[in-house]
Amino acid sequence: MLMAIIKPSGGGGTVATLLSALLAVAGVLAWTAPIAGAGAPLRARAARSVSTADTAHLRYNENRSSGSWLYEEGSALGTFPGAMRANCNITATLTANFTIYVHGGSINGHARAAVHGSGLYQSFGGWLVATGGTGRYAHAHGRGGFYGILNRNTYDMTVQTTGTLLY
Amino acid sequence: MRGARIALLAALGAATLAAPAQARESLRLHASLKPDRLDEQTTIGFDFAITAPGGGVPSPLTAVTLRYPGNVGIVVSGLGLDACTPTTLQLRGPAGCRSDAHMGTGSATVEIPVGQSIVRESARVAIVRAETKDERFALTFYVEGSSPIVAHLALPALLLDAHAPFGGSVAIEPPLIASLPEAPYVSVVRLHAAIGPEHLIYYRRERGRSVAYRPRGVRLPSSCPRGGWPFTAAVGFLDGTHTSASAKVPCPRPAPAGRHRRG
Repeated sequence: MLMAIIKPSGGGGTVATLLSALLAVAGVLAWTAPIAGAGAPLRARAARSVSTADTAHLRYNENRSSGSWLYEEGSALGTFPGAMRANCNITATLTANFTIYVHGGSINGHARAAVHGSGLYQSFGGWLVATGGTGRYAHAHGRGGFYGILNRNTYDMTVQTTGTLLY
Repeated sequence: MRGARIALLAALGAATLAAPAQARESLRLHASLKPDRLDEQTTIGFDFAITAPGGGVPSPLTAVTLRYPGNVGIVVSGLGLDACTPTTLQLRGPAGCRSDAHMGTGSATVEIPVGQSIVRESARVAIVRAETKDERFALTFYVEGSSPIVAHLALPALLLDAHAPFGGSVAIEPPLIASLPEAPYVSVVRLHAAIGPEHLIYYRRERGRSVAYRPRGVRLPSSCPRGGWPFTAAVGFLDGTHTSASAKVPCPRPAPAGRHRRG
């Protein structure tokens, strides 16, 4: 049901493979670098860059929803499998705040999408931004696509995300 | 001569860039939420009336924007699960649309100046879901007048975003309606629109049978904004002027303890 596609970010071919390998090496390296003007050295780590593709099946939680805000929760599969919660405001456009609880922490972000379709199933498409998180994803950031389908009768959603995450 | 022409063009340009003038017509807005219980389904009612000074006929409408309160879920109302095409409306009227395309009802009053007198006509309004336009939730306000003039008119509308404290707006684009030869355009002087499950029955398939049910309706949030639910109406006229009016629906009294949530 869920696809996990991890690709090197950027172009394809040998250069991309090399870049991917370098990023992977850089990703596991940690170093200590003195910062000018600072008394103590700052511990820094090179960010990992991962191309992501995830699909989440979310169920409507009536007790935590209010008005045009739908509270959705379920599981995500793909690059970052885990539990997902999203608070979606559906007016003329769809805006959402989401958290994905993955192994080693959580990833937060927000999304905005235009709503298409005229029937029971309403599709939406737009963008998402990862803005932070907890644990090993405390400094997560990135951008990507945000797509899905809303059942206007049950308010359940299927959400697909693609993009690049740095953490 | 050339300098004068440039000055005239500059003046025209400035006039074009200037904000539209305040209309001489006055606008009155009444809004309602039935029932007005927090966290439950409701029907939103808009009722606006336009009057011209001296009892004359107002200038024809060219734009109407009705803004409704924030966190009110029209798109997640369970209304308009199907769309009605312009062809169906044109050939068969709202009765030809699937029941799941209906989102509300209403009425309108129009005035037509004929010589020195004013012909006034009342019409029924059916609000139906239309196919998405420009990636926006679209509606059609279908007006059916029968006496003294038989006239059917489709007013396209879009659901648009709106700044806080509003949650969105219904932007209606009334076309200019010709009346009698040589007579001015028809003027809409009153429009009542109710978007919600009142008077609506939908059907769904269950075990091969068609089962009737009442759609949910527009959801109110679990809290009411301080001072009440805000609504506004802004209208533009053919003569280039515009006017607006606002209304508030008082916050409901708290429900008794132990009351069941949303039905």
